[in-house]
Amino acid sequence: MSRRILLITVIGISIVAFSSIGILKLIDKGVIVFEYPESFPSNETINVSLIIDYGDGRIDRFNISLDSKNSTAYHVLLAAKNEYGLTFEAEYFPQYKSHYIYSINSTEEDPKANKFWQYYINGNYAPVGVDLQKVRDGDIIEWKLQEPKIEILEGKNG
Amino acid sequence: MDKKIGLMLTLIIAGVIGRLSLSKFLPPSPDIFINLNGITQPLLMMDLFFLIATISMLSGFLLDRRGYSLLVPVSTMLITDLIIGNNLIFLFTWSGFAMLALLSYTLKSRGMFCMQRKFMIFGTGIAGVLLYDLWTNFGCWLLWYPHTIKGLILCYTLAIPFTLWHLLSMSLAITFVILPVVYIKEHEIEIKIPSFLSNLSEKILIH
Repeated sequence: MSRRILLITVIGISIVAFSSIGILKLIDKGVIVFEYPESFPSNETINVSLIIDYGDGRIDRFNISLDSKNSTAYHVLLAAKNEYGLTFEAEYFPQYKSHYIYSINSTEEDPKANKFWQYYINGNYAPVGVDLQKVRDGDIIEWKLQEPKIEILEGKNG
Repeated sequence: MDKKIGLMLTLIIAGVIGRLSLSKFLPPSPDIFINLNGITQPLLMMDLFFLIATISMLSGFLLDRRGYSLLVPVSTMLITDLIIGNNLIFLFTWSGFAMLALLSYTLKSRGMFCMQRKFMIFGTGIAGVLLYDLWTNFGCWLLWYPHTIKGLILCYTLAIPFTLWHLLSMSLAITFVILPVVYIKEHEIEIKIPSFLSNLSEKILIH
């Protein structure tokens, strides 16, 4: 019995030790970080294109300028709101650190028709929430009201 | 017999109330991020998986029939999904929780769901989490992602913060909920089922 307890203790300590070493390695290599990485070290203006596809043939296009320090996909929507009067409704989820966008220009998502607002960067499905997705100068941010179907281009950023 | 149905109803009601009311109480994700394949995400993405997973494991442990054990997670998900809404992923989530209940039931029927085998219970819970996540993320890939290796990798990469949270929350749930319940059952401490549930189970049996 005591040999069994000793064995379990040794295995337990080994798991904790190897896990700790692994986590420290990941922190050292920058895989695990303690603040969201900044894309741009200095303040500069970046220009992006915003396209809203309502899924019924209507498409709006905006040219947006924003400060590189505040350059997430959510900031693009805020800038469009300030510059062009675009409206949108969103709910913040702290457990995901991001907003969920459910209405743009009074066009709401339609769960019964399985249509939700989703966004793409340069044609690629954006893999993270709007508050976590950095945008770069020249990016095209496209919002589509559509069934959840993820598209990945095999080219730029793909 | 009626006590078991009362227990089954208690688990279903606890799961339904918990899933409908606790999402607002989830803690915010800590300021720790993970960078994989050029995608930076919060290290932990919190959801209420642990609640239904705990209910599923308890149903496998506490209920005598396999059918009853499977009915608990499926009924809980059915009722709450009817209120919250869902899509075709329900095929994978419902069956995923049923798998957890089945794992737990199998462990109990082999006499291994006891305090003496607490590490086995822990291991089963962790294996259940990994099985659930592999299964449901495969469902996500099938339903929404491009059916390519690249799509599959993206799907499972984006799911890592959820899996880490599932592992963490389930470890805590096993330690602070499931093992104490096993201890209580082994020491034959009487748990009183609310009288209205006993009455309800009697009515179900009569009909």
